[in-house]
Amino acid sequence: MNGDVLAEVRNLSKRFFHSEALKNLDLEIFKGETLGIVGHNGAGKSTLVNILIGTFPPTGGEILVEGAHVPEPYSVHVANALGIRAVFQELSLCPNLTVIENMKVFHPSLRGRGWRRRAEETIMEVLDILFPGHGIDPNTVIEELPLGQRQMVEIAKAFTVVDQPIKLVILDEPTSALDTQRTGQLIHYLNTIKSKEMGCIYISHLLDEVLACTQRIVVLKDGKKVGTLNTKEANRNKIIELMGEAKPEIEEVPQAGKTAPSTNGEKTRMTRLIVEPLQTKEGKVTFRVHKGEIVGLAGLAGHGQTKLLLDLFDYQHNDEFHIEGPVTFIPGDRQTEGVFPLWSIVKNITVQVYDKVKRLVLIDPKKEEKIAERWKMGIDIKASTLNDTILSLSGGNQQKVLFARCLESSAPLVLMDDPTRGVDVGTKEEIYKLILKEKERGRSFVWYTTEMDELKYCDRIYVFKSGKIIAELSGSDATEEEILKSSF
Amino acid sequence: MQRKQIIPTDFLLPLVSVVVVFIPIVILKPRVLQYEGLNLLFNMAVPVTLATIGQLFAMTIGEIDFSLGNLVSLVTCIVGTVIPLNFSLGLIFLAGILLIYVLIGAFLYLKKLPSIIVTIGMSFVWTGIAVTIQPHPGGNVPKFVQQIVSFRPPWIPLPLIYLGALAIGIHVILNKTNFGILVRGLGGNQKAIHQAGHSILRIQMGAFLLVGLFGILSGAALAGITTSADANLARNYTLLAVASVILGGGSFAGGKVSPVGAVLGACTMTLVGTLLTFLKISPDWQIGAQGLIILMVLFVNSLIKHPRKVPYV
Amino acid sequence: MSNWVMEHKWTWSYLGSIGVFILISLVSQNALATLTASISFASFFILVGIGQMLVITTGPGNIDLSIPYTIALTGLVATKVMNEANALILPGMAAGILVGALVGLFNFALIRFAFIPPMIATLASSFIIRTLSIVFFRGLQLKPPRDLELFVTVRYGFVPLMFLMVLIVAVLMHFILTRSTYGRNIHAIGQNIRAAWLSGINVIRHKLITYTLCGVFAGITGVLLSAFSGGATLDMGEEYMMYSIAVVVLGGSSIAGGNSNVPGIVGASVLLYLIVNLLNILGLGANLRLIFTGIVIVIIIFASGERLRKAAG
Repeated sequence: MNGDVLAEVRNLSKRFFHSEALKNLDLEIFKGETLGIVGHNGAGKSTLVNILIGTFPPTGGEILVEGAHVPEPYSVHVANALGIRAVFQELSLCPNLTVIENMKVFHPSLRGRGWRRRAEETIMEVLDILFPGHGIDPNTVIEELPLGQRQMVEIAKAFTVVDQPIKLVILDEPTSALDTQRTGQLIHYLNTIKSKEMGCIYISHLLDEVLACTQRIVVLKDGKKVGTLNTKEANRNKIIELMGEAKPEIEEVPQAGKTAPSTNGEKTRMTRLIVEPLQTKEGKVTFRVHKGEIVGLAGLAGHGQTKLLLDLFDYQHNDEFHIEGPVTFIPGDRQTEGVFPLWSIVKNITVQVYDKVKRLVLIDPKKEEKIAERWKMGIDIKASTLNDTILSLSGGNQQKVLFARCLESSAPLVLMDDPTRGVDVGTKEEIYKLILKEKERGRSFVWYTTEMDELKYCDRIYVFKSGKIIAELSGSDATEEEILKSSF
Repeated sequence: MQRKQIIPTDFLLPLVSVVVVFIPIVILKPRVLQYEGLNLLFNMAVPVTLATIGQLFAMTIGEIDFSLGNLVSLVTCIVGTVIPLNFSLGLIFLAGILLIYVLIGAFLYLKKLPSIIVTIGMSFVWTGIAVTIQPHPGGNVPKFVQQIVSFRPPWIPLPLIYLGALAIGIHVILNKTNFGILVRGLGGNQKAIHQAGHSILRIQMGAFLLVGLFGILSGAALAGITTSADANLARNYTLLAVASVILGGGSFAGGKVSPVGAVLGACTMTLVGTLLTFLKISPDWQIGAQGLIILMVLFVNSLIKHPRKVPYV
Repeated sequence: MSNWVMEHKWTWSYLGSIGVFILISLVSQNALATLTASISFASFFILVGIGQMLVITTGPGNIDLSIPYTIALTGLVATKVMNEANALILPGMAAGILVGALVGLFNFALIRFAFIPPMIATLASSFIIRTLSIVFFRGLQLKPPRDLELFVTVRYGFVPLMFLMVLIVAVLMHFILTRSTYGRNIHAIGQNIRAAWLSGINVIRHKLITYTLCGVFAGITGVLLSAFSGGATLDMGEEYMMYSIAVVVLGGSSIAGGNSNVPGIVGASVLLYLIVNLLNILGLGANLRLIFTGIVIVIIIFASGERLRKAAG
């Protein structure tokens, strides 16, 4: 056993219903090193972090710290006690408490006489080292701090020592709210000042940062490790190349027809615009959709794609777009945005089409069932009876129900918010066939997906970065390499 | 996301409100500025403030006690009818009430129950028990209870001493004690508290114990001041307490509360009633006016704090 | 068989009613007369229960606590307009129902435009409604017109006509809730408000209709109740807050929203009033009714294991 190994995972797997977020992952981190972890959407980065910090258990495999298995049941509290800390993008502080009070929450041993002084000293010491000149008053309430300062406190908190020593700090996109100066200070700290006893995992989509402050870089893709680089020998292109390694199991799928972007003045029926921006901005890529097109939204997750979809959905209340005809929205997060949990499968399907199922003035359950039956046959919804509650279905089949619901409506424009998330491979194939069939019938789609493979069904692709569209790709331009290059 | 810089003195608004209500009172009846006047004026603010503090602890963790007013009325009946007859029995009753509150706090967390409906249910139970003890207003409030709320210290009227002590005391509890910080933290980010290893169950039980405790203190004070035991005496207290907490800078979502602000808010609400009386507005209109003022307070508070733009309510 | 009973939770309230009726016939001289009186009173429970259930169905946190005072106000308005004249019955009823609708609209406006949580908004508006009743109708001595009084008391055998009419309304509401676009939509909103919005449902419009309908049902109750009781009084609606919630909970509707149960309301109303009657016959007073109903509400909620996210506005 190499005494320098700080923490490792062996054969780590994590399965969420039908998708495997991590597959037999082996990873080590050595004492004193900063290890970078990079990857595109769905690579498994945040799953890995959550398992290391104890948010949820793995489905298989082991977690070891300094050669010993972590105690069971593992939890965030236990991880912290072991000396493992994590900084996520979401707030882990209590926004209504001051910096000092948050220290007390995080370190229960800060109590008794003089705890405030000790808490203040501890956090200020770390802040001064990490971010010299930070200007943060520890008696300020967190929600009154500007975003950048809040992030600094989050990061500093992870490095505070009260009783247990810190062994491993995991930073997940730590600089998203920091400006250049503060980012530089953090990187400087990681490179020079950080203790040789402490390990650090640095996850970021900003490859330049990862190259600047790590000793090794691990590239993940689809839950597996596809490569490890020594940072000294690495560069952007090498990393992106590794990320793009083709999956051996991809089968050839009929390529969607490529629609050429229409030139001004040439508006045939085929290229009629169904979504038209109301304000064209100078020099910026304009978003538009032609009838019968599948437009893809790509780029790293959470960079503005969903916001665009919601703006399109709510088009009647904003003046961003002119859209022909009603719009329907297929959500990706079925639990919070799609499923009506108390209803049967039938009722979940017919919620947008009551006009179709009425006999005289009342809804006719028989008509509803007929529609549901048609979809059950058409896209093979695996249910024993359609009057069962929708929760009796697997996740993939629930998603099929949502597709049925939206496609049964007569809306010509279909917005999809990463709709195949957490869906098994077989169901995904059926969904792709369905989308292509609907496209043949003249429906238009705007498809945000976090999976590179799905983009090949799209006629044109817009790549998002930091909330804006930075590239429009079509035809043969839309290769995985191009998309990766723009995303990062 | 744009963050509005919150005014550092959270109790500026309630302080201004108290002054705004106080000035017309002074104009109408200049005598209030003397010892006797201040005493009378702020007397009724004491039970309202105690109830407000009870509601404050519930709202800090994002819950609400809909039975508070009924509880306060019940306590006046216990203090005014049970205790004079049988002191120990009365104490057992009160202890039982505290126990029930602790259990409610526990089960609201353990079974994820909605505090609205559970406390509405309890409100009927409290009133039912109160009517059983005291079917008609009456009672025989013990002398010692009356004395606690009516003795006359030199220079500063008693109510003001109590109010000041409450404001400072609760401020200390919420800001300087372990429990207080954890309670506020629970209201701000439950997940953070849980992940740091604290027992949410214990914090919740403790918070509800305090809700019950201050409800009891409020009832005792009310009984002492009005010398009356009446099952319907404090029915409005539930809403008054909520409005006072909000006026004092609190929020329905929990986390942000200001004890000093809440005390000032309770004083404002009480003084509003007095002002309406001095303005010769008949009691018939007073209830409606109170309701209207509460609505306005909440409306203004919503505007300042949460300019929402959600496409669905 | 027991599976079917579990699926159709409302059936046990019918079974319970039979059980309680048997108990009554054991202790009472004239069980049938008791039954008639019970189902007359149960009619009122059904009406307010339906209104309250509609509001609760639209999602967690939605509740109407102004029902009791709306009943009083509408009863008073209707009685005044009718002025004891048979010819003015219809205008009087229309006036009462209109006032109820306006109250519902007002409540909705507070929730939507003033961003006040429904429980607080409706409670505060009840203060205002109370004042309006007192100010405009204090000391109203009018009796209901004779024909109306006849209508609410006439019966076929032991079945009151009013009960039959209320049953027809209940059946109508059942169909509206299960087979109309409006009904389906409010169930969608109650189950998952975001999914409902994303499905193209106009959430705001549906909530507006629902709160208004609740006011309308309270209005109908006020009109009929005042005729039934020989006149309208200021506190005629007192107990209906408790009962409106109790029959919703008892009848098997989910208090988290999204699941209504009209047959359950009917069964629970009959059961509840039979129990009230039984308690009366046994000499137990109003206070015990309060305690009993409160405990029932709390127990049902515990037992049904409702999981509810914090709905604090």
